[in-house]
Amino acid sequence: MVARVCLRNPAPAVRVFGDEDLWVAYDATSGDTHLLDRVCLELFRLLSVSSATVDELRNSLLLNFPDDDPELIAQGIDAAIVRLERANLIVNEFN
Amino acid sequence: LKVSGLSRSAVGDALQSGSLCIDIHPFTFRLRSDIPLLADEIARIYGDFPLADATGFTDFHVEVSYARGVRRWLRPLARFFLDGLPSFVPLPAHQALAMLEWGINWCVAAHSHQYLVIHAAVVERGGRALILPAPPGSGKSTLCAALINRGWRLLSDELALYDIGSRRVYGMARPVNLKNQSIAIVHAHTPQAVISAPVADTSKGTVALMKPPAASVLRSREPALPAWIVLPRYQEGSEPLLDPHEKARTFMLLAEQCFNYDIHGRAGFDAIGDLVETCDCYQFTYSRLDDAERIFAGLAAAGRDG
Repeated sequence: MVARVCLRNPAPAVRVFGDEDLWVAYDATSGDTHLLDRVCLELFRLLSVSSATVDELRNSLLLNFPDDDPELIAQGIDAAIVRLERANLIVNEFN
Repeated sequence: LKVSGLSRSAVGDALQSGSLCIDIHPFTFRLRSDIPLLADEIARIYGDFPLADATGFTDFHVEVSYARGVRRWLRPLARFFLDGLPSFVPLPAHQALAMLEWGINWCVAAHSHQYLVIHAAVVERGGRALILPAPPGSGKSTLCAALINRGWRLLSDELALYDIGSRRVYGMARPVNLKNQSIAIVHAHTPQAVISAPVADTSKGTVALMKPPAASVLRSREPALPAWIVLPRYQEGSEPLLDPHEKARTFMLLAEQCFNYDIHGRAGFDAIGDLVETCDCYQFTYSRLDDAERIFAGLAAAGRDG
C-alpha cells in the first residue's frame, strides 16, 4: 500500500505576504511558528484539499508547472516534504 | 504634579518610605530605595514624568536597595525587589540606576501580557510609528536617541507595547539606554541632551541613560499606528542602504524579539501577521546618524504625501 501524506492539523494558521516566496505557518499543537518556502506552500495548499501520495503531489505540481524541468520539480518536492515533516506539519496518514 | 516638582530631598524621602509613585503610562510604579545616588538620578532623568497617587493602585512595587550585612560598608551591593521579593543577583551599588532600568524592563516584559511586548525601539511622526526591532548591538538605541532629538517622538528605545485589540503601539517614553561609544556619540550629536553619569563595568559595559524629551513624556498616553518596521544594522564606514525586507522574515524576527509571543498563541501569530502586513518593512545599514535622520525623514514625508 502506498503511503498517503496529510496535514497533521487540518486547519493550520498560515500567513502569506503577497507574492513573496516565503510564508509562515503556526502550529497550534506545538505552539511553533515556521518559516517556509514556496514549494512547501504549494504542497500545503494541495494537502489542505485532500491527502495525497508523493507521486500525486509530484504530478499535481508538474501539471501546474508544465514548462519546468520535471526532475527539478521532483527533487524540489522531495526536499519540501522533508522540510514539512521536520516542521511536523505533515504526517503519514496511517500514523 | 511631576517628579521635577519635588525637591531633591523630597524625592529621597519618598524613595526611602516607598511612596514615590510614578505614572509611566500605561503603568504606575511604586519605587523604594535607600541609595542616595538613585534619588539624584531619578529626580534628574524622570523629572518630566507625572507622579501617581501614592494612596492608589500601582502596577509594580519596585525596590532597589543596599544588600544587608557588613558587606554594605565594605563593598556595597544593590538588590532589586519586585513586590518585596528579591530578583536577580545583586550588583555593585554604583550600578543601581542601571539595575532599576533593567528591572523595570523585566517587570513589563514578564508581566504585561495584555500587550505583545517586542524588543524594539519605537519613534513616531505624524501619528505613525517607526519600529526598530533588533538584537543588542545593532545600534537601535543610538539611532532612537538621534531621531528623538530631531523631531521624532519617543515611544520607547527598548520595549514596544503592541496592543492586540487596537493594533496600536505604546511605548512608555522612558529614558534611552546608551552603551559604551554611543554615550559620546549621542552627546556629540545633541550636546544639550541630559545624560546620567556613565556607569562603568556593568554586564553591558559602560551605560548611561538619556532623559526623554519632555514633549514625548507629555504625550506618552498617545499610541501610534505602526507604519514602518526597519531592521537597523550599524556597519562602520558604510553608505546608507535602505532595502526592502521580506515580510515573512520580518515576521520571524519580530516573533523572536517578542517576549511573550508564545503566551498569546494563535492571537499572537495573527497580531504579528497584521502588524507586518500593514507596515513597510526594510533593512537599514548605516554608519552616520545624519544619514539615518535624512532617510527616515524621507520615509515619513513619502508616507504623508502618499
